[in-house]
Amino acid sequence: MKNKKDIYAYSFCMVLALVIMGVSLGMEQFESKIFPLLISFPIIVLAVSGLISTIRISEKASTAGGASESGKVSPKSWSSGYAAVYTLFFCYFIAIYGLGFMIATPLFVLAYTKLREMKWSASIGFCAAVTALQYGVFVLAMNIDLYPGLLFE
Amino acid sequence: MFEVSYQVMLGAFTQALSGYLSLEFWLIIFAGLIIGMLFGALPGLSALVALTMVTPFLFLMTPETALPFFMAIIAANYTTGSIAAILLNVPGTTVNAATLLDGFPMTVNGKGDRALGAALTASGLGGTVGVLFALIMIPFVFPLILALKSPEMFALILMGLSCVGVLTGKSPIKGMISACFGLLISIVGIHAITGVTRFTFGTVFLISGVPLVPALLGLYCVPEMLDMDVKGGIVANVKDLNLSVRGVIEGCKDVFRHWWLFLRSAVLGWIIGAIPGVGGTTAVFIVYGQAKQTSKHPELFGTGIVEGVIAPESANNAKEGGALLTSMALGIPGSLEWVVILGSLLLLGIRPGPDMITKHLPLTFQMLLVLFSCNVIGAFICILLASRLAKIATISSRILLPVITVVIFIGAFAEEERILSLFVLLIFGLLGFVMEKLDFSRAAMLLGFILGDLLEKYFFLSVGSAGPLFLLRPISLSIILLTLVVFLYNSVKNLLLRRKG
Repeated sequence: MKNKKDIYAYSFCMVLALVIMGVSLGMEQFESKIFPLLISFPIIVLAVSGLISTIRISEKASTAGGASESGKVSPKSWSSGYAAVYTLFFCYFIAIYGLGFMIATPLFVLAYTKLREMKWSASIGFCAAVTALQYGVFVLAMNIDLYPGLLFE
Repeated sequence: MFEVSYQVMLGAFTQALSGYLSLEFWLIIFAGLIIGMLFGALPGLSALVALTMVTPFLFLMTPETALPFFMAIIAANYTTGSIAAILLNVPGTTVNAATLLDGFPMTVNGKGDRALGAALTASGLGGTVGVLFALIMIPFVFPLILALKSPEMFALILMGLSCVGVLTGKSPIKGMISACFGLLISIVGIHAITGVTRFTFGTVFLISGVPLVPALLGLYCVPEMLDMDVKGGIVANVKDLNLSVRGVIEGCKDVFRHWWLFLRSAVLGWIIGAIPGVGGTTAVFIVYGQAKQTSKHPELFGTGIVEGVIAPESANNAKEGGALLTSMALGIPGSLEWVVILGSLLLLGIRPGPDMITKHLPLTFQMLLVLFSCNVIGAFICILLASRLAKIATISSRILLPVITVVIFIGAFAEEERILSLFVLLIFGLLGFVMEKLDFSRAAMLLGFILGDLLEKYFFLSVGSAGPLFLLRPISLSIILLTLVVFLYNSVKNLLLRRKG
């Protein structure tokens, strides 16, 4: 499983480096393209050697009975856990874009604490505290102009 | 030349000392100490996360306040991390991982206070030794730095990238690929020499390049938050922590009883800290190993003996003196935390490298002095507040995660006040997460990103001054050969191991 991931990763790196090389070759001036070309080339070499080494290890593992193929596999619940939190972060970004920090932040904190099964009273209290902290520390003390949101701009 | 250097150094040292006369300076130091202690007491949140989170707010500071602030965070963080390691069997930071091998067994045996006294004293004094050593080495580094021209600087940056790429993470190939991609990310934007836009995809946002702060926060903080939620915060049980003053003082005395172990551990820690890319965790385990091997009773290590606490704790603060010198003088980070500090220096308009030992020597001295004073003050405060600081480790991740996430998002936005910076944060957050799971080195990518501009600049200067074969100059050739040794060492070692097996 781990070897498969490595194979995909090295292949992706190789393809990306080739694309970058291709785009660099199309640049107007020599001084602007030389550096990306010089960096992309070692990526391709390294990715190829990584790919060869990973394939060799996979072949050895399969001739030895495939014992080493399993590796450490994350439980499905972990992947969905990561996806849920990352999605929440993304929703927080969308909320900031539309509604601004002052509204998005309490919504985010409320959503997260309810996702983690905190009681309503504790959630709302914690929401208020974080929003107050955000306003007090960043707006009043540090004088940062927090984004007001598309709706209120 | 040495006489002139001596006068320059004395003047710079005096100028650095004058910073201590200002109240603002002391307020900054104490703010750094508090933040360092909080993050040190919280397992899973290291100095690296603390430094990354405060980086966006550097625009409020000058270099003379920002760098001492960072030093205070680092000094307090490593010192406080030993408290959770000893009392709760959970390292506060990764560099305290070796401390719990004997620290927690001492707590189980009823000698937690003695372990704490020994750890905090060793930490405070170890940091002092590290600073003194760095001050002694500066006059020797001074003429070496002056001999470095563009080809040598180019070779040094390559060596730094190789060291970090090869030595951090599990695979040298993946580390080097990460470093190369970091270099590629750094070239996004307008090329300084030709004015050509590179990889901006026609967007105005990317004309000035990928913004450093959101990328940094995304690479390091977002994956930590994801891990914190899924794996849960560390559930630490705070039992009755009866810490007697007598026990703590006994521990403090133990460091002086074992002065030779303390001194050689601190010096070894300094030397390892000066090697780019090795990092603190490796350093403390190497030092713990040497303490065990040279002990009269090696079989007792791991059962709860004070030597097993003194050795790693002496090293974990001493190494910062070595890392500071390498990072500031050569522009090559001694550890992951220094990768972030180097990035912050660029945000403050300061180029790490020879300038830090020539033009900005007072700033370098100030950092060393702050490291020294914060090691001592931090150790003292930790001794007084140990049991309270241990309780911080029990704060739930349900409380921590939303607060830290809000700070991260505001930090990413605050630098340029552009909403698209948050998008960069999320993209790099996803990238950092994938890299972490696939064992690609985030440190190498970040370093490539930070040093990419400099590397390209030195490349063109070197070709212009010494021609295309500039790497054949004696010093740059030696550095390149050393780089090859670093890169090939791991591969040769693995090959030999496989043949033996």
